[in-house]
Amino acid sequence: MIRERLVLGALLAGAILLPVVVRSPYVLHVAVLAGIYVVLTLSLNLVTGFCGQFSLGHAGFYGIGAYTAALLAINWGSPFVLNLVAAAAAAGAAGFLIGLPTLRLGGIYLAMATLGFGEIIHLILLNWLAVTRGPLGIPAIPGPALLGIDLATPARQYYVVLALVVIATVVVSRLVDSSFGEAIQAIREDEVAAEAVGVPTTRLKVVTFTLSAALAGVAGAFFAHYATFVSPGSFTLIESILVLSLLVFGGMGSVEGSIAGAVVLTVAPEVFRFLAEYRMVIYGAILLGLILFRPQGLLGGLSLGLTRRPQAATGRIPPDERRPINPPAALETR
Amino acid sequence: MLLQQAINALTLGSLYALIAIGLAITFSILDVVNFAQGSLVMWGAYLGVVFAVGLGLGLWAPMLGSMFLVGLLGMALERTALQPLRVRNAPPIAALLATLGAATILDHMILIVFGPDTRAFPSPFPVRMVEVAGAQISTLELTITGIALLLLVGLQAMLRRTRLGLAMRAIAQDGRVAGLMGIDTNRVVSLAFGVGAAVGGVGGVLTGIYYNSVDISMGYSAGLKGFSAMVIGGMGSLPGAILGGFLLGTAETAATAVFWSGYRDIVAFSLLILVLIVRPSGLLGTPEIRKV
Repeated sequence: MIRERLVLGALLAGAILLPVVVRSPYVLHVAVLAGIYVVLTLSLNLVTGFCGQFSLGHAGFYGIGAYTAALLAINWGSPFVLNLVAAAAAAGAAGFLIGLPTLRLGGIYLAMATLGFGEIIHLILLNWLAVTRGPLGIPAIPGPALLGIDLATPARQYYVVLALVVIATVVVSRLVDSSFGEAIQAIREDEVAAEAVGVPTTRLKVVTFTLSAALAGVAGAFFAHYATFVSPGSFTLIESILVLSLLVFGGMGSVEGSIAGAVVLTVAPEVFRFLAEYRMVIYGAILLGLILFRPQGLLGGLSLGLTRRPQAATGRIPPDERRPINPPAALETR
Repeated sequence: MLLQQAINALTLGSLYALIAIGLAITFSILDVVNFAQGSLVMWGAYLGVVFAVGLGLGLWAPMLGSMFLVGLLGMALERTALQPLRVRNAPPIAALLATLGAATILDHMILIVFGPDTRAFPSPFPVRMVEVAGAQISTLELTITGIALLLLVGLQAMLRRTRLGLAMRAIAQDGRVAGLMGIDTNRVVSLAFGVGAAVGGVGGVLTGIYYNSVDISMGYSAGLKGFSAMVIGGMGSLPGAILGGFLLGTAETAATAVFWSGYRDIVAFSLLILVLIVRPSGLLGTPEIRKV
């Protein structure tokens, strides 16, 4: 316990000292990207890792957050912090509306439905020219600022994202340790059993989905202010799949894993830049190899005490007897 | 005009049906949604370009060549990425992620070999316009639709009339019992995956010819359309995949005619979601029963 706290403290101190030690804007840029992906991965982990509901539409919520912030900032000049809140509200509302009809669906059906919604959000961003300017995107979004202090230097932006990461980590791990968290993990382990002991499964799934979408929206809002430009191309299924692979890489249902997975897989392509075109092939091979040889994720059972639960018991894809989704006559030709 | 649109819908629909049916075979037998299907379709299309444009082999040889090679590729994928998971009894989600990893590898191999530029895929035979009941219909559309329908009928015949087809249907019903009955399940599953991939490969060649070009993002859109068609028809149902493909083709053609092409894909995905919400098992699928 004490050792875990020490390691955690050392990591946090290292993260805080990074811009002091390293002044390269490039390194800080990669670090900021890693931070954005940590928040996104934590958000997906909540709904997929802890609640067991497979979402392939997270890029949609990320995009709604980014466009909400961008449009508010451009059209009304509203401040950064307000935009973060508004983006969370907008993405959360979208998550609620999408989750309500689709979360009755299980497993692969939910994955396909969220995939469909994610694509529709992308297509709306692409085609609603009057508001989103379509493929041209929205340029010249002001950088982040707080109470009149300009936060748009590399080091300050890094601290903003670090603050978001810390907040997201605390929120998600407290949530997971609460009775609400216990209930959603019960849903993941066995939905029918959870329902039988009185867990309001559908309501909790919708709440989880909404929270997760809101968190992705916050990441999107920060991204919009950081990049100062948003376009629909950033919010496609490919982005959803990327976040999913970060989650799997780090280990589903592990807060520590989400952070490690997102950081390692965001930094790795930069380190392997010399491999040029081959790096995405290696990326795919890493993902495939991990699923084949280490399904519990990179860190496996390792825990830094962020969540109470022993990670070994929950941090992997739950074993499930091979239950055919479409039992008999699935391949009947008549 | 209406007839013309109907032919457009039929052509588009048969392309989607081919891609969807490959997915449906895989899903019904392995319970796995093969996210690499789009990549396999793209491999088929690029191999088609190599054979037809690079080597000038006409229409049939590139199609059969693509079909065979993509089929082999699919079998290799199943052996390396999916069989180990099946042996370990991993949940279907793990297999889905494995196919995602494989798709990333396959897509970027194409990117490395062919580069990011769009490649022309001129029709390997002279295209003429035929007048049918006042509508101008190109022989290209007729050929594409004809080949697709031929393949779909052949596939149904294979599943109904051959021993291999019987084995596949048995595994789709219950893999363990099929194994106990003496069916070499690993071999049959591998072959089924190969067949699904091969059908997708032909779909890729035909898609390339239809649009006169292949590009690096075609696998992505082909895969998405295939998924939609399969889900609309009912996951794992072969007639459903065909019906879903034609419905999707019709809906998209209608959307393009009535609104504009930007709405085409929105209509496609809205249809997908509508079906999932109203009838999750799809139009022709068997409803899922949740059991303890």
